[in-house]
Amino acid sequence: MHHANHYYGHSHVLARYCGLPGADPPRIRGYLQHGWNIGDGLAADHEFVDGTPVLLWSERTRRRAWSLGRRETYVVGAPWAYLLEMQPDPGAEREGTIWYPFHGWEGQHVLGDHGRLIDQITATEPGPVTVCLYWQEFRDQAVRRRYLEAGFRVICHGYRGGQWQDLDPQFLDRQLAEQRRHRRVASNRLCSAIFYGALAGCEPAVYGDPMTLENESMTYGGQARIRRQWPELHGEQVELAAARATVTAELGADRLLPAAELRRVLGWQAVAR
Amino acid sequence: MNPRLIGGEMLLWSDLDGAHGPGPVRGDALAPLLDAVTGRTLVAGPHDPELLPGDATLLLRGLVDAERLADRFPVLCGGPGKLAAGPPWDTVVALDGLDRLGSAEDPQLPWNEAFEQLLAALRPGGTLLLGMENFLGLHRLVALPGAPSDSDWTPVAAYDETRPAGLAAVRARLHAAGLTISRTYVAFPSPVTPAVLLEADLLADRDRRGYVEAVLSGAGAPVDDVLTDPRRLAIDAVRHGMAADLAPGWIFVAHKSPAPAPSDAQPGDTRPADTRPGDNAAGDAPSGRTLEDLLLCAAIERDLPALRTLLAAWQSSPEAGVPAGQLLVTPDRRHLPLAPAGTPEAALHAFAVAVLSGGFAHPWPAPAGPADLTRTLAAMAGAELDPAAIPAQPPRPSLRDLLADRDRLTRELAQARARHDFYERTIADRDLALRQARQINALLSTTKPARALLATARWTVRRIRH
Repeated sequence: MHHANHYYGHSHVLARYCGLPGADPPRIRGYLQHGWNIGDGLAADHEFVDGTPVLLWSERTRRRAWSLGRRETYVVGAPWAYLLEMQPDPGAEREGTIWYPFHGWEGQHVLGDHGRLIDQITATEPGPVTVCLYWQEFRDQAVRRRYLEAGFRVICHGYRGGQWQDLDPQFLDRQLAEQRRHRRVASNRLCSAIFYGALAGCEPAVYGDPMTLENESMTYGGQARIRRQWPELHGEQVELAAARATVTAELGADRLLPAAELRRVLGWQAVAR
Repeated sequence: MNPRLIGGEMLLWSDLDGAHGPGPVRGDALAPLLDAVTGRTLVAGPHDPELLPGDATLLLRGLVDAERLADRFPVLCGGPGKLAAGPPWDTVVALDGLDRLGSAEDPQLPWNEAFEQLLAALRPGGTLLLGMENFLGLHRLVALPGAPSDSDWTPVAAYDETRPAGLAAVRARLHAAGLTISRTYVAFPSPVTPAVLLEADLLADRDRRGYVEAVLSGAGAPVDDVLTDPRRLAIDAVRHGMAADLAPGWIFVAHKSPAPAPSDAQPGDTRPADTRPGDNAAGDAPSGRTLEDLLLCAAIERDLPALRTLLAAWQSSPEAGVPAGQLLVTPDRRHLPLAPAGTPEAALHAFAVAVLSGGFAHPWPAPAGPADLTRTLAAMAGAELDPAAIPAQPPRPSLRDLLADRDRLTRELAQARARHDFYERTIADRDLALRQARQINALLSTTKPARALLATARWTVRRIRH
């Protein structure tokens, strides 16, 4: 229904899991949560049509969404978790850290000191570092050069797509392949990539200046609340068992739907028959 | 002479034809109780004659009924006032209670006096089978206002101060009269047409809750319009330990002193509940919870993985067609069916109806109705149903269902309108994008290189087609 359902190739991953051709997924009957979220699961700028199911990643987000007035909700889990179901870890050797500097989204700017962050990464990470930039920052030669000059490998997973254009069905596949090369995943803010990496078998870490997002909304408590609520995922080293339990719950990996149920919930049963 | 007119007989009256009141007390659930009566037996009040032992004597107030049954039973026709004049009886059966014993020819007796008259006709050591309607029973709590019937000429019963109100009060009254109660049964869903009788003690047994819930919810849909489905209320009453107090009726098996020795077989020893299909050993109700109870708990807790496990285990078992409300899950996780199996589609549909009409805050987003939810439930068990195999929804909604449907339809209409507006905006956006694309296309086709490109493309398409 909403074009954000196709971000990052999410609908493509779910179509593959449902046994449909992954290249051209049908419309999803509902709004699919497209990133880890501390609010009601929907992006703040989303147009919401009342009565449309909201398909959420975790039970915690569902409870929060209910408390915020959302009723037609259902926990389906993150597309990432379905991708991992379909592609078990081959167990290849891992090395170093994949590091995700906090980014803004389209039209937003991050204010902060990249130089200090680079020093901290160098001081903390024991092995080689791959820095993964958001596509906007990847295209910014100055930002990119700073990380390259620090001796990091610099990559970008791709463009998430928008308004049904430039969709990237392989986005998550590339991200998974990269993450499985690394022993650790880190960022200066708790974000989807940390959850993804941890579920993909990396040791998660969140440290360093979280930086400031221009016009950042504090509706759901911002960074301070995130650190209070999810302390087990913050720090240069975290306690792995606790971190993994949280990550599994936040991505709904403990409650994925059977393909038949997912087809029903997404409104794809007629397509599959 | 049969029938024998004993005074107070009503010449143009029948309780048994059901035209002037609720008809006789009836139902197969009563058969084991009546089969077990012994000795000289008096059956007082309107009972289904098919259930009665052939050697019983009947006390009927209507001459029409008395004459109709005179070739099968000895019949006394009239009010209870003259009963004590005859020799006392070994057993007195009054499963309809005392409210329809008195004749219109006589003043309406207070309950207390009618009770004393009946008791006086029982010999010492004799057995009384007494039915009582509970005026706070679920059948009355869910009833819509009705018109009085021909038999309600003095409809005082609910306001009769001498009539014990409530289970404890009735028991106390029987004790006070020198009776020893050996068994108490609760009757659902109606005191006149009970589908099930259960021992009151069983209702208090937490381990047997599932069995009791299954029996009560299997008692059949209400026949008349109701405020809300009494079966759901009955299950809630069991949960709260109130089912005996809120039962539509009670039947007491009581003995006039001196009480018989405990070793003597007594009417009521053959437990009526044990005649239900699917029951196991006599009187030994199985423990466990109903699958419906477990499914509802998981759904309300939003424990979707547990819900999927329960649904998958059910739908992959030989009991897939047994309604969840009639399927016990024993403490060792075995399925124990208490009703015959239908189709799996019908069983899932019955649960979907229970979820949607029970007013539960269920986890499924915007189900279009029970059929839609049925397909989702099947999908949670990993199966895809043929929609044509899903039965139609049973009619007769309760008033609560009607109001819920009204609110749901109002909400759905508002949501459909919102979606309609969204689609309109989306179409307008797409139209704009299409127009722009066409304009660009038209612009390109007027330039020379673009024309050449288009000509090549057309030529290629033709080649591919041929």
